[in-house]
Amino acid sequence: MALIGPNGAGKTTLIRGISGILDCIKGSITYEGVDLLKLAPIDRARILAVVPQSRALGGAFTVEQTVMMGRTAHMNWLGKPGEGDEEIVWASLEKTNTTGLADRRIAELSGGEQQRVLLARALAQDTPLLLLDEPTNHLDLKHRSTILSLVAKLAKENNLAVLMAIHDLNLVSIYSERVVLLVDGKVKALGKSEDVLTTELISDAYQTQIKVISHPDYRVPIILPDQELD
Amino acid sequence: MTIVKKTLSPLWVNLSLLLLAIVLNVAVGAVFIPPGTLLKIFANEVFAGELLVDWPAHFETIIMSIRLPHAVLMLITGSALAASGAAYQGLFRNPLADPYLIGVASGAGLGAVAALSIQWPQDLAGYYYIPIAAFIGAVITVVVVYNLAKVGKMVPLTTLILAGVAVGAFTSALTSFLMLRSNEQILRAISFLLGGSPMAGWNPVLAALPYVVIGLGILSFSGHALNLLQFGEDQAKQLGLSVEKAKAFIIIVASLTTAVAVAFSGVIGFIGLIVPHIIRMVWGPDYRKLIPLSILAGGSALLIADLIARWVLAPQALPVGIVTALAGAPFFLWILRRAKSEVFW
Repeated sequence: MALIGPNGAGKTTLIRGISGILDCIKGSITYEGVDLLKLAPIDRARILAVVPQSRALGGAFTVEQTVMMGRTAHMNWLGKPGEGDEEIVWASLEKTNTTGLADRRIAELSGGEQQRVLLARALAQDTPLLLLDEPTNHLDLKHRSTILSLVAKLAKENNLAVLMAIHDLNLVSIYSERVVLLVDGKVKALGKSEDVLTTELISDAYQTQIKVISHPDYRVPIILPDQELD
Repeated sequence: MTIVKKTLSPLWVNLSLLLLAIVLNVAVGAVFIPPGTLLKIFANEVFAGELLVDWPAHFETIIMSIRLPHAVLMLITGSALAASGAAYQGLFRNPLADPYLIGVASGAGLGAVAALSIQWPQDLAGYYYIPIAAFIGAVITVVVVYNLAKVGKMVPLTTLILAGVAVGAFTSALTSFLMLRSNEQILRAISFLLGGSPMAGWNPVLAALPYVVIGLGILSFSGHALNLLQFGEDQAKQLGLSVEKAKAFIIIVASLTTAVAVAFSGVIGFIGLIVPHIIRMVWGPDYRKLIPLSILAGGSALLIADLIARWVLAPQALPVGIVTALAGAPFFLWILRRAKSEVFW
């Protein structure tokens, strides 16, 4: 499921709220009858993993050490990894195609590589829910489609529920099953991408003229700016 | 095999260095005692006089009641300062955090002097309570400095050092004021804080040991939490750390160990800065290794500094704080220059 909306609509705030970082949230976020906001961080981290937007933190750690930190909620209080933890870490590195980077320091990696490592760390958490905050920011064309098709594939294979804040509406259209449109902190529309990505809804939400055409191969909506050129 | 290589060798390197530093520190002084004789005297103590005594009797007195307690005090002081320095650096995500530079040591000094200046009992029981007074001073200081230095959720380098210097100057001024108002006898008891020359005999060692052992034990187990905090508080929480609890806990324990070091050895700067830095450069940023290795290396570093302090102008002994500052201040400037581009951090 993709979370879209203009700048300042509250996408990142919603993600942070769900992940339990903001404590001023009203209401509840339930998963299988459990209110995630009422759980201790360690219990929440077994249900919900987050791929954050901020990067370049913890740059001195190696990729392997970083991904191992995804196992925090499954380790004992000493933070000593067991056999199973090692296995899951290497499987996550494998899935995100970062095995070759295992001994490199985070700070030495490119933006795309860092993004894949953060995804690997979230996968290592081995949770049924996955949140991503604009994972395609700063990525080039190739890395955008790589990371999104990877997430889509993992979601299908591992039966993950994924919520992803994202700006590129055409990527949303290609890769996501359902879309939430957020405007001024409120849900404006929610549904299949062809129902939400309409000329009317998108023009109105983003306050700009657009045109929706159909993708020649996939038959999904493609959004183009439609402004008069002077 | 790589795991053995990675975890065993730094431990052995630092343990050997520490043993060497202890032997050197105890051997050198007004009377030089050859390390061989030294080891025999130690062995004799352990096996309760089973060895043939072929050394002058006063060697034993010099070692057992003067040099060894002094060396042990230096050892635990260095360990405490290095470990709490490493913990503060991890907590503030700032390579320049050091108990001395961020004013915590001065705060602890103020606490100790304030306690001593109100007619503190000069017996062993009195000794045991000095760290508590120093601890209160240290915790108040670290909370004040942290809140002054915080900009949003970050603790930038510049504000941390500025706040530390300002609060440190303030508490030092209060300390001087209290000392000027005290009588001669108390003045003698607390003059160690200015020069950083430690108290003598086994009493301060016995008094400091329980606090230091508990403090360092807990800090050694905080490695994983500190690792997570290097990714920022938000990510640490998302990965499953109770951030607020962990921070409060680590601040309290690091301040406790700093306070004990200051209460018995005076304000000694830069050990908490240099030692974790060198360890990090050689063996990487993992706090689960960094803290235990800093404990060992901090002990070695202060023992060597103390050796130099007693040797340079022998028979007169320099305050050890002068040696650590002479070595540490240039190191500080070097870190400051490279802090922006640092990959180790």
